[in-house]
Amino acid sequence: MTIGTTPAPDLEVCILGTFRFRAGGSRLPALAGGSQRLLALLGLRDRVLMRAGVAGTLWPESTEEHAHSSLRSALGRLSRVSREAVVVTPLDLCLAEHVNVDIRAARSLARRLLEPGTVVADQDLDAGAIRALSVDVLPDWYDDWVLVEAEEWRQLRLHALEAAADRLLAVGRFGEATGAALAAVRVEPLRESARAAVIRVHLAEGNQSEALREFARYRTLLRAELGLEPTEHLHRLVAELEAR
Amino acid sequence: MPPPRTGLLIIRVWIEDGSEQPLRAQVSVTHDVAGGIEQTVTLVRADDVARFVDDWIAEMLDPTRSTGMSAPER
Repeated sequence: MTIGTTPAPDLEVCILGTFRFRAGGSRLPALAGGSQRLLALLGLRDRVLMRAGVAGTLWPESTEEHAHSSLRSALGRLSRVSREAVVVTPLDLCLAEHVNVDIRAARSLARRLLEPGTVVADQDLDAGAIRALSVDVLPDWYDDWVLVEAEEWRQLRLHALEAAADRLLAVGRFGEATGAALAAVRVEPLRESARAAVIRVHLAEGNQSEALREFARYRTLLRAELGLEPTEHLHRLVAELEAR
Repeated sequence: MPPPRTGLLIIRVWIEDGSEQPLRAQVSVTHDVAGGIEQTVTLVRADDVARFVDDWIAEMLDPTRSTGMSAPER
């Protein structure tokens, strides 16, 4: 709430995967539930939020008065270190400028990968980048405000993983391209574009049998789950191999 | 009196252009969010999705009733 005269610790709110709040790279003792939810909301929205909006979002089934009281309680229960992470005014709330939020960097990464014609840095395609794109937002939280943001992130990362696979393929980094494409398949095993990305990498690398195996795996899954066949587009990718 | 429960049903829809049945509706449900998602199925026909949602609501209203919610047989 107040920024002291001593240098602020390196604070981080992590909402990719399990909620964590860290200072200087070390995980801190667990915060109370309300305080966790408050930091997660501020991290997810990543902008200044009106107090009334925060109270109504976090405690939607309470009366306005009770929601405000719950917000005051959540703020009051913040630990000494976590207080440094939040800027509170009588009207609004936000995370302090020096607080890192993992989803902020991950969203920027995804958008860079999806921007056509943008040259990305090596680190945007390394294992750490693919890992960041492989994690859901707070997967066990079912609050409305989490679900919507989590779904938006899921779609963004799915497309970004496919774009990363294409970019890695274009520069001949086949192993990493396979990793990115398979990460997209794990997000949604029935999605054809992710399977197509895996098959394209195998074909570019000259691994024809792997390409056929991936196609067969997908066809088997699609038949079993949906009673359907892969599209003509996917068939065409491997048609020449199948004809041999 | 049983404790209150909050159910949740999420439908993710995408379209696979070029497929004979292009709708993909992935339905994830729980009858009590405290226990996490209980079941996820992917459906390709709008009427199957509607039936699945109907069954889920019926089970929410009467937890003792089992409608055998499941994806259509293949």
